Amino acid sequence: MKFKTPIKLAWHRFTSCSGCQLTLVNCEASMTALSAVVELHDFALVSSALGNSEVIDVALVEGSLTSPSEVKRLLALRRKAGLLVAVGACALTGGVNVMVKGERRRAMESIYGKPGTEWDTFPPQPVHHFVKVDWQIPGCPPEQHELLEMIAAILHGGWPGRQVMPVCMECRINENRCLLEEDHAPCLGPITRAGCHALCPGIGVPCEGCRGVVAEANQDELCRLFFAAGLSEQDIRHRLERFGEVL
Amino acid sequence: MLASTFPSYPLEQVALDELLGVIRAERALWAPHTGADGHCRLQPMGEGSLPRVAITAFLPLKKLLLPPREEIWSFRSGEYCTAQVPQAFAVVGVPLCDLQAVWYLDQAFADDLPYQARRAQALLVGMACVPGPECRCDGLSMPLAGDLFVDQERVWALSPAGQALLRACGCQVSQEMPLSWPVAVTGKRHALTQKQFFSTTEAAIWTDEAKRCLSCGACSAVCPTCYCFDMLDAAALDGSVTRHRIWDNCFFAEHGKVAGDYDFRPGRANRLRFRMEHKRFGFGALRGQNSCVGCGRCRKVCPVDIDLDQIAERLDGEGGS
Repeated sequence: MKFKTPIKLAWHRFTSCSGCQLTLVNCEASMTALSAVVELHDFALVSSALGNSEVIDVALVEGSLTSPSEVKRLLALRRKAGLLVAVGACALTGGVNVMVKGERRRAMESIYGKPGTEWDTFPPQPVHHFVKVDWQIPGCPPEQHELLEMIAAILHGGWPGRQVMPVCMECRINENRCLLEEDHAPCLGPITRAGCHALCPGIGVPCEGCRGVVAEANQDELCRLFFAAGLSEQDIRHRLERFGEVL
Repeated sequence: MLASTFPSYPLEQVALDELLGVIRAERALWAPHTGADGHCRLQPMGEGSLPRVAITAFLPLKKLLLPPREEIWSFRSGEYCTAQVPQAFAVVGVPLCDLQAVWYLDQAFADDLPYQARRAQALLVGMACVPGPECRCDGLSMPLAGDLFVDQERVWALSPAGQALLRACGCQVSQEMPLSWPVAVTGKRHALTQKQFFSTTEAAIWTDEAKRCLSCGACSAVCPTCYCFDMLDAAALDGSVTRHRIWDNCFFAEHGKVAGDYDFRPGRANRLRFRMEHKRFGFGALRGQNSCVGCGRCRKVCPVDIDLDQIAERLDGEGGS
């Protein structure tokens, strides 16, 4: 699908922290180039222009879905969007929002008080549970270059090429010391999709798996390593479920 | 041809500081540097004299000869532009196993223009090393690349370029001498035969080891003779496109995937066997040529302690049965 330049772009946020859109807004060095090829139609964080255009070329969607009104807005957006891209962990898997477990009414009340029990909400769901998703950009937050390269690829009528590999590969390429092997730290690098240039392990923080799980990951063995390193079964479960991918 | 002797000079006849000065005048200098975290990495070398002992760096020389992410060409303003030819550089303090690995890469990439462009710019100075507990080298069983080799007593010229450098430093009469070779403290690499390997394709050890393998790819990433790559095009907002060559890895699920989502190497056991096959017996024109130089990097980085050499020993025990 190829669009006329400038492409009509919308960014919709559902249940999330706005960190994904901030990532794009923070691409200061690319703003001039971006504004030459993109026309904003609905992007509340950067423009007060209202989203009442009938056609959108590319809709970027951030956040998980937690209420019927959000689903209604998502369906309307999908109907008028040529392409829909899910951005960030919340949109892809539900993200950290999924950590809210147990009886929903009680959880709502404990955070929002009595009024919370009246709100019409449901457990956080990823975008692909409701609409067709044409492309996914993982991460919490996503990488700037992945957002920019995707917009650039759409200008050419395609999607960016990408290699699917675990964070460990980027960590070895960066010649970081291995937190898993040397410190027996609960690093999720071996099973997590790379693309972040091993940012966290590079500064000594074990990978938390925000970019989702690689294909054919060996979770069993990694859990065994964590268990041998002294983590409890519950610790391990919490760690693996932090970004919403129930394993 | 496996050369066993090279022209050599007694160390006292070679002015090492002068040699370093001549190299430095023409080339960017790289050397192994051990950081505060105890890891050794190849880094641009500052001032100072020539290191006298080789250290096995975290990433081998392929880091410079076949970089993890290398621009091949770009397409901008309607024209294809080839990537810039890298500048001349020298790496000093290279262990002999890594020089053997470069020989192997030289064969595998004999017709590869970007590799050859970098290789032509490289001057490699080998040094005697102190073998560590992971080392399993077995001497001159493989030819080696490189230009100079220095140990505690002599300097060898491994190439015409190396010989010219020594002459420029006033060394005149050389003597053909065998290279001094380190003695690995933990023994040699296990010499697995093709017959043993191919008669044990169904051995339980493959599925056993694959159960532990995390598919993290660390072993292959740090291997001096693992060279799988992928091509990746990236577009920019100005309309230009750049093609990069990036390291790939036979442990990744995508590695054996082809059109129609068909995977010709499914499962971790197959991938583990594939790596062993490549390390010990090569492919294509290099079929039959061992490419494991025994540097020990793979067994050192593996988070679950998978060791190809131990697997070879166990296969030997099962051979033909």
